[in-house]
Amino acid sequence: MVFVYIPVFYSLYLSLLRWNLMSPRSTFVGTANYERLMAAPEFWNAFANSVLYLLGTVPTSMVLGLALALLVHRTGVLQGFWRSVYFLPAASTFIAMAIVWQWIYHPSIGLFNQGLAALRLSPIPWLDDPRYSLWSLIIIGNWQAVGYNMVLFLAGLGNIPSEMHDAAAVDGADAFQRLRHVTIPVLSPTTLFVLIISSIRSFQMFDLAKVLTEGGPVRSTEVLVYVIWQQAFQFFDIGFASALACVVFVMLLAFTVLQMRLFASRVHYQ
Amino acid sequence: MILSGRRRARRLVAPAARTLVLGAGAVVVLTPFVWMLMTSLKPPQEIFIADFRLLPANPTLQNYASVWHGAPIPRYLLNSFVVAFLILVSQLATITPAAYAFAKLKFAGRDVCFYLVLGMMMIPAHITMIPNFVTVHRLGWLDTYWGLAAPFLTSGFGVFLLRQFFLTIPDSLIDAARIDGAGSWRVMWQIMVPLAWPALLAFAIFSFATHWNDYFWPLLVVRTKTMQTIPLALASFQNQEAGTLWGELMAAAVIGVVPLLAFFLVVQRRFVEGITFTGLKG
Amino acid sequence: MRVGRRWVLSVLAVLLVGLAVAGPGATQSKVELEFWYAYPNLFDRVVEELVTRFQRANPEVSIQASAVGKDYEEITQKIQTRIFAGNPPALALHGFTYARYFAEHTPIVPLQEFIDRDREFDRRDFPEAMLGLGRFGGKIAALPFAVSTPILYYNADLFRKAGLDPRKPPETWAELEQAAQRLTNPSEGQHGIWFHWNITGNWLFQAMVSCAGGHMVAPDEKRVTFNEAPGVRALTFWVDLVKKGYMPRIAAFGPAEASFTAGKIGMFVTSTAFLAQLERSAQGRFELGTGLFPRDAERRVPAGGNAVFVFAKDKPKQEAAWRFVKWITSAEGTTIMSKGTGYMPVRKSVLEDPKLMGAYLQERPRLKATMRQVENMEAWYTFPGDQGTKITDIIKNSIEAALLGQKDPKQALDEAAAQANKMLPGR
Repeated sequence: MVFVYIPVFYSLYLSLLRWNLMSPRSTFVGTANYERLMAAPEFWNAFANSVLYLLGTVPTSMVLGLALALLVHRTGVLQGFWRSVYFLPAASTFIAMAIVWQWIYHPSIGLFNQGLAALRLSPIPWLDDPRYSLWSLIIIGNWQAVGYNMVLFLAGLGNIPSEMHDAAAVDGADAFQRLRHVTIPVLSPTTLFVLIISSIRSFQMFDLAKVLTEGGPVRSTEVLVYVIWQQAFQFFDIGFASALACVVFVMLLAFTVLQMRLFASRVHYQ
Repeated sequence: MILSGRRRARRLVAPAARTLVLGAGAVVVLTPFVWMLMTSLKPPQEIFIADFRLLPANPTLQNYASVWHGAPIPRYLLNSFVVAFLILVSQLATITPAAYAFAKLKFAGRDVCFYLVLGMMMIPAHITMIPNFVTVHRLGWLDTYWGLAAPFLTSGFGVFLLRQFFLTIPDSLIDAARIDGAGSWRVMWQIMVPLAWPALLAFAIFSFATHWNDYFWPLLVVRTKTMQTIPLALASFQNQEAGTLWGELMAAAVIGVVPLLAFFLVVQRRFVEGITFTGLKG
Repeated sequence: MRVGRRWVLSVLAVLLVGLAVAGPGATQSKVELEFWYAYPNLFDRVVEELVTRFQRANPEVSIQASAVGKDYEEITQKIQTRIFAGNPPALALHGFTYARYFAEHTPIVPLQEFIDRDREFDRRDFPEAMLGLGRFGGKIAALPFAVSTPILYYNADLFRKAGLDPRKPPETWAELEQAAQRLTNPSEGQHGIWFHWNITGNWLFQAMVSCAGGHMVAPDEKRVTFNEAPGVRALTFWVDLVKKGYMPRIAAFGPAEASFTAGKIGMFVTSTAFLAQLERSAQGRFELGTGLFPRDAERRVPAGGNAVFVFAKDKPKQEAAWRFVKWITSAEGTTIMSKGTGYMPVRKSVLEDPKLMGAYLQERPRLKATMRQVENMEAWYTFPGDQGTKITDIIKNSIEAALLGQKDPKQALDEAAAQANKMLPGR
C-alpha cells in the first residue's frame, strides 16, 4: 500500500506544478495544469479513443472468454492444456508479440493482407490508416484479453458445486436451462469481477499504442495512458502528466464504483 | 444408468464437437506464436521475403546459438524467475488475510478500505514509477531482487479476486467451524483457502506471467547487465536507430516463453492434486 | 500440510539465493564512474573496447558502462529519474535531438569549462559542423561522439531491371522523382521510394526544408519558418510521391524495412546508422547501394547521432570523466567507434587520413555516402524552451495529416506553425 498511495499523493502534488523533473527549478501553478487539460484537444481525443477501445474489447472478450471457459471446463483432465494454450497471448513478452503483430498487419507481406489477396480482396492498411488503426489494436486487445478472462471464468466455474448441476438435471432441466438458471447466477460475482478488471485493464492499455503505432496515425490510437507517458517522458511536462493521471484515476474509481452499485442487486453470493 | 441410443450418441458427439471448436480457436490464437517459432528457426535471408512461406527452407539453430552466446540467458531466466516467484509468494501471503477480512469480517470503514484497495489497480503504472524509484533508491535496493519486487509485494487485484471468492463460501461452514472452537486464523487457512483453490490458481498464473513479462519497472531499477530480466534482454535486440535482429529476437522470445509455459503446466497439475486432496469437489 | 512445508522451504531457499546474489559489492579506492548509453546492439562492443583500453591506461579509474535503454527515449527516462533522485550517472551518451534540452534544462557540467582549462585539447580537429552540434549559447555543452547523416539506400538489382544505372543514383529531387516513377510497378506491388519521414525529431523533414533552401525557425528564434515556401515545397514533394503511388503509405520503420528487404521498395532514405543492419538484411537477396541525400536548391543535411555529456558533481570524478571524454573523442577512440558501428568519426584528422579510415572504407564502400556529406552537415535543430519537444510532435502530426491526404501541405504546416509559435519561449 505504501508503494501505491504515497506516489498517488505525490502525483497530486506534482500536478500542481510546472516542472520537468530534472531542472532544480519548478514553479507552482496551482490548478493551471488541470485547466490546460480540460481545454486540450489531445485529452478529449485520447478520452474518446480510450472509450472506443474499451467498448471494442470488453464486451467481446467477456463473451468469448465465458464461452471458452464453459467449453474448457467440461474437458476435465485436459483443462490444464487448453487453459495454457489460450492464456499464452496474455502471457508472452510484449516486445516479441508486437513485432509478430507488426508482421501480421504488414500492408503487403503480412498474413492478413496476403489472406485478403488470396480471396481477391483489396488490402487493408491496418496500422497506417486512421480509420483502421484503433480497430487493429482492438483486435490484438481481444486476442490477449479472451484468454485472460477465460482463466477467471474457469476459476469461477470451478467453484460451482456439481451438486447444483445434478439437482437441476434431476429436476429435468436441459443443458441450456441449466446454463441460464444455475451457472450464470452462481457465476455472477465472477462476472462482475471480470467486468471491472477488463474495464480497468482496457483503460490502461499502453504498450500496444506505444510500440505499434506511437499513437498514430494522426493521433488515432492515442489513448489516455499513452498521453500521460508522452507528456511526462517525451515532453518533460510532469505537471501536466500528473494532472492527467489523477483525472484518469478518479474516472476509473468512479466508473468502478458505478459498476459495482449498478450490478450489486444482480449478483448473488450464496 | 442405461442410456437410450440417442443420448449415447449425444454423449459422444458433444465432446468431439467441443474439441473441434476449441481446436479451431486454438489455431487462431496460436498463429502468432507459430510464426514466432518459425521465424526463430530461419536464417536472416529467409525472413521477410515477398512470398508468404511458413516453414523455413533451411531451418537453422543459429539464432538460438547467437542469443545464447551473446548474453547470459540462464542468468536472466534465473532473475526473472526469482523476482516473479518472490512477488507471487509475498502477494499470496498478503492478499489472503486481506480478502478474508473484507469478505467475512465486519469492522468500521470496511467498505471504504476496500475501495481504497481497489483503487490500487487503477493508477497508471507510469505515474507511480518515479516516486517509487526514489523510495527504492533511498532504501538502497536498486539493482537487487528486493528492489525489483518491492512495489508489487501486494496486489489489489488479488485482494479483489479472492474476496469475490470468499464471499461465495457459505457462512454456515464458517459458523460450524467456529462452534468447533476454531479462531479466525484457523478458519481462514483450513477452510477458506482450500475452497478457493481455483481462484488462487488463477491468481498465481496471472501474477507470475505479469511480473515475468514486466518491462518498465526493471528498466528503471536494473543497472548492471547481470541483473537484467528477460524482457530487458529481449529489448536489446530491437531498437529504432539500427533496426532489429529479427531471428535472434524471436529465438530469445521463444526462450522467454518456454519457462512460463512450463510453470503453467506444473502449477496446474498441482491444482488437480489439490482438488483431490481436499476431496471437496465432486 | 506436507505440501505447505515444502513450499516454505523452497521459498526460504530462493530468498537466501536472492539475498546472497544481491549483496553489496566490495568497496574500492578507485574513482568510480558510471557511463550510460543507449542502443546496446549498436554500441556494446565499441563501448567495451573503449572502456577496457582506457582502464588499462588509467588503472585508478573504474568505469562501469551500462546500456540503459534501447533508444534515446528510454535513456532519457532513466536519466530523468536519476537526476530527480539526486544521483545521475557521471557520464552519458545522448542523442543530439535532446542535446539542447539537456544543455538548457538539466544539471550537466558544460564541457566548455574543461576545454578552457585544458591546453592540450585540440578542438580545431573537430569538424565545425560537428562541434556545433553540442554548442549552445556559444558554450560547448557536450562533445560529439558518433555522427550520422541521412543517405539514400537503393536496390541495385531493381535499378537495373528498371533501366537505371546503379552506379549513378539520383542526386536531385527531380531525378529522384523520375527514378521513383520508373521503379514503381503496381502490378507487382512494388514502390519506388520510401522516406523515413517520422524518424525522431523531424530529422528528415529538416533535411528536406534545408535542401529546399529554408530553415526551421527565424534567426531570432521568435517564430518558426518551416511553413514558408521551402517548407511547403518540401512537404508537397513528399505528398506528391504518395499521391502518385511512388511512395507507400507506411508509418513505421519496421514494416518499411521489411518491404525494402523483400524487394518491394526501390529506394529508401534514412540514417546511415542503419547501414550495418540493411547490409545484413540485403545479403544474398539483392545488391545494396548507397548515395547522397538528394538535393534541391542546395544540399544541407542535419547531423544525427549522439554526444557525450558529463553530470558528475565532485572534482575527482569530473577530472576522471574529462579524461575519458577526451579518450573516446580522440582520433584513436573515434576510429574504434566508427569501425565498430557505421557512424562517422568526429575528428578531421581521421576523416581525411587514408591510413586510419582509408583501408576501412575500401572494405565498406557504402560508408562513403555519408562521408561525402560531412561538409553539408548542419546542426540538428531542436526548438528552444520547455515545450520544444511538443512542437516536434505537432510537426510530425501535421506531416502525417498531409501525407494521408487529410490536409493540403500548406494548410497543415500553417496550422502547425500557429501552434508552435505560441509555444516558443518569450511568448
